Amino acid sequence: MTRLTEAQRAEFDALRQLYEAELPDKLGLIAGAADALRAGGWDKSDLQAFYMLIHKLTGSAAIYGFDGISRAAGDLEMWALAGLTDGVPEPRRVELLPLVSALQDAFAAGGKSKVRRRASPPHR
Amino acid sequence: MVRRSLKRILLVEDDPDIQTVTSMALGSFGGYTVHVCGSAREALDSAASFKPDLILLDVMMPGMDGLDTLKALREIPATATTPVIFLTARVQPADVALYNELDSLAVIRKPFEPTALVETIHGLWARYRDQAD
Repeated sequence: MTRLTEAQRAEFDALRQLYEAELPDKLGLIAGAADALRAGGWDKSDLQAFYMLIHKLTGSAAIYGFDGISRAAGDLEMWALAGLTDGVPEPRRVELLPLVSALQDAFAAGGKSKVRRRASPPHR
Repeated sequence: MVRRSLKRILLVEDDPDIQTVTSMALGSFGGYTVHVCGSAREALDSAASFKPDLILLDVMMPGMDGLDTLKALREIPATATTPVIFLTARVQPADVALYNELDSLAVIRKPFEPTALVETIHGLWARYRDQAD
């Protein structure tokens, strides 16, 4: 791993804090997209939009060290991807809200506590 | 022809959060000159003037995806032979086989550790340079 200077470490931490501050907005967008999906009759374009939102969160949350959120988002992403491939039959529709709730729970419980702690390498 | 040093990196990534942390890692930690493009169109428009030594290319982007972007970049003289590394979560064997068919240098799996990215790229660049010698 690249050895970071103190200034670089601070820069990275500041960026991560900014990302964390924006997480409620991201989760709000996802919850809204889930509502639109249900209200819109499980339209495929709504599902595609939902998938893109959740795909981004899965990747970015992990990169910024929010592993619990990334895992919960990853479950939702798999659900959406299956829907894009096979459609969303009735039995699978009921899975959406619990998965969205699990994502919100991951944030509420783990926004900080589940942050992957990176070992601070020696400064030079 | 292989350029001996890696200085200029074109990053093509549509997610602003990943753009930010990746460009910080490459620029601040790695000391590279980084040009960030949020879409294939932006990349194709700026590739000739930026003249990258290396291109980091997201695969899943709205509009033109990374695979088609690479094909289009190969049509531009300035990037016809520029090494390309895909950044993607899609790393199933069939996906990787496709990336190889397109003559990419490597694939870096998402999510990646930002603080390790520079080291990873150093290693890939060294391998690329050695193979070409």
